[in-house]
Amino acid sequence: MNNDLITALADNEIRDESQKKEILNLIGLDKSLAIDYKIQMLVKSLVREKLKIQHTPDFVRERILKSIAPKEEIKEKKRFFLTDLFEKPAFTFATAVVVVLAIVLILFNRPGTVESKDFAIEQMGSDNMFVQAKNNFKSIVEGRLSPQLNSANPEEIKNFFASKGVKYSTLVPSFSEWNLLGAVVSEDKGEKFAHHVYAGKKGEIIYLFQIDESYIYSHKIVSLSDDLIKYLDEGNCYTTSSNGMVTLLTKADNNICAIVSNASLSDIENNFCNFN
Amino acid sequence: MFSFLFAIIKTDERKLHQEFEREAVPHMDSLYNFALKMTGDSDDANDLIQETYLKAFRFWDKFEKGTNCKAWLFRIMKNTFINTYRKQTKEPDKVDYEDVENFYENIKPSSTDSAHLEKDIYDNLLDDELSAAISSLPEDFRTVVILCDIEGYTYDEIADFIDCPVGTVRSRLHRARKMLYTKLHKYAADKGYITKDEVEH
Repeated sequence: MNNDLITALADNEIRDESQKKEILNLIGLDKSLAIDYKIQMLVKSLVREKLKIQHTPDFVRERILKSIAPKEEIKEKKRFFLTDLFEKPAFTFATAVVVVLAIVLILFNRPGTVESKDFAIEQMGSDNMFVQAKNNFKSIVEGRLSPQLNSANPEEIKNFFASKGVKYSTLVPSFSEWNLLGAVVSEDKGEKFAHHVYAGKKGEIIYLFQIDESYIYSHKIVSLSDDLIKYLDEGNCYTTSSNGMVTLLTKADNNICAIVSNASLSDIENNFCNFN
Repeated sequence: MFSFLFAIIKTDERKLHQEFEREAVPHMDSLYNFALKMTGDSDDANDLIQETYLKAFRFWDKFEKGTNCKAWLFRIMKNTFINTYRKQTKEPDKVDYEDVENFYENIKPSSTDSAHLEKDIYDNLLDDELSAAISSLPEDFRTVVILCDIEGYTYDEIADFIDCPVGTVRSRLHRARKMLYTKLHKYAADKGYITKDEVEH
């Protein structure tokens, strides 16, 4: 008899009653078949009992629903403010001009960090810089990734990057509240990339991963979503925060920098938006 | 004229979205569990399920109405897992069926003591140990265990999900459970739930 049929019996997948009886009969006669059957039943019940169905976390569900929501709904919500404003008879042409001027002034005088759309949901895949930075930060915090060079000297770290084959010019700023800890050079598809880490007195860890923009634009070795690249190209600084972890992306000189930290959002924004 | 055309397009888009919400979104928990067990990491599972749903939504017009939507979603997830997440590991998780055969031969029922098959022995095992044992199975074997024993699908459904004959599902399940048993037996012995004498027996 094919032993796989014992599995089918354990899973109640044998519909033919006579075949079922025949298999049960064989199990009663043959000790090795009986043990095989017991193994199948034992493992099946252990897996069923011990591993419960887990529900999709709410934030993941919301993120998915948000990302598939029809664009027109979002547009309708946006249109609501402006269309209603100008449709009201109380708003004369002069008032409308003042409103438009005010909007223009706000746009031209906005700070480096503006309220941005949630680019985080678009960042996916193993070659994505945002994803890589977050994973690397987790590895550092969990002690799975340690510096190849321990140094608090920015120049020494820059020289280390160059000596290890990083082809682009790197930025290693100093901060009064955080000390440089060290640096790592990683390799992907034959290219070397610069990473360095700071530590604060209150247990803050600040991880900075920087690449030359050409790796995204032309080499396509590292990726970011088109919307986020455009947002950074416009001189904006993107920040997001979840589970006590702040992630910031910004462009400094020709480098795109991803900073991940457990420090406060305001500290990270104040120090890294336009840090060059 | 144009506004009329735009209105038709918008209505179609809204209809597609409503259909997707009605047919695909209710399967999210099932897929999430599959993602969790396949990746073994909650962050990766979150990314995998999101990527699966985005792809499914993008290609929703290609889904043949009236066919098994859950199976379609599972196939997208499995392909996404293979193409994206498995690439992250240096050595792809390819099943060497000869190795599995050797492994399988080493745990012939004749070498198993029936006293070790009492469920009480394994009741003290932690869920994490069981999860780790499942995660360590070769991918094809892990998939059938998850779909059958955790998700509770029939052989026909699993065959449809993974696109292979029912006989293959049955055979993989048979071997997967025996491999799991060996791993769980080892955990139980390491923890002292099975005495040394019993192990040597």
